[in-house]
Amino acid sequence: MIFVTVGTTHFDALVQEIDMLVARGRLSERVVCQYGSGEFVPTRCEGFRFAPSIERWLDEADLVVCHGGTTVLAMLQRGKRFVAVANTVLSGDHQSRMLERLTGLVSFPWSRNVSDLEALITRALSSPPPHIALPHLADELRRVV
Amino acid sequence: MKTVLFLVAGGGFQWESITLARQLIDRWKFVFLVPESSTLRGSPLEALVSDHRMLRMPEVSSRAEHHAASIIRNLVRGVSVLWREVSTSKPAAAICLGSSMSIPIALVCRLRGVRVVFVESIARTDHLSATGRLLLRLRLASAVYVQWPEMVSTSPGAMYKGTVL
Repeated sequence: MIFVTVGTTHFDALVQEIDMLVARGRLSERVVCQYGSGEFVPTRCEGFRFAPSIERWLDEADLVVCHGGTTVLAMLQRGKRFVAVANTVLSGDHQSRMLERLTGLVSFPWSRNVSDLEALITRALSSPPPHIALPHLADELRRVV
Repeated sequence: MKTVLFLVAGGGFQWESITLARQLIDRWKFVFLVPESSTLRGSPLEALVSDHRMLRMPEVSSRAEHHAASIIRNLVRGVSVLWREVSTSKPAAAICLGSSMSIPIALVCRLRGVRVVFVESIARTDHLSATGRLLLRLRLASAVYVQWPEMVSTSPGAMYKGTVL
């Protein structure tokens, strides 16, 4: 199952692209889409706007498609296969810059362009989940407090 | 067991703060400092605070309130709420992540001899926030941490010791 999540905002271009890929039969997996406050409502995949918690979809998914916000960090922490697309409409360059910085530390599929989505998904599904091994700030705080 | 004041501000800071708190939750007694407007119901914060104490603090300037009078009133209320809390719980430290709410918290703690640790948000990839710079300049925080190693050279006084992940 591929789970698409746009978080608390909206990302119509991403939702439209995924809906289109499903319509064209380009994705063989089941797709569930959390589409937030967007205007575009997907017709070819299961979807919902918001939920009190998306944990169970995140757990169940083989792949998560998300925007470039802090969801990416949660995915890295979970060791989950994911694809990130920077939401340039909402946040300009901000998400892209963070994603670029992150890939300096750990490699994962991402793009500024929604049109790259199919290629990113194919790449993510055939790679191991990204693994992050950074020092834990918590260890330092235990030491100093 | 030591008591620690731990700020969980709203918006983008909430996820990071909770992620950090979860790793330390068995180590100290927590008093969670939470903005008055925070909705807890059904949020990950609700589960986390259930075994610990929580203190709601007025936001100095929320989206709703911008008048000087209400800003000052909220500041005074926040300071007095926190002042009483410090007297009661005698915390070993206050840990604040990202938000400008850190400033009044740091002011009170500094005056009361409680050490303050400030963590810059992981979303800050290039340089310190205004809050971080102010805390360093006024020496209100005993430690300021950034979450990207490259930031240490552009943020004199700040340290990199890892991330909240």
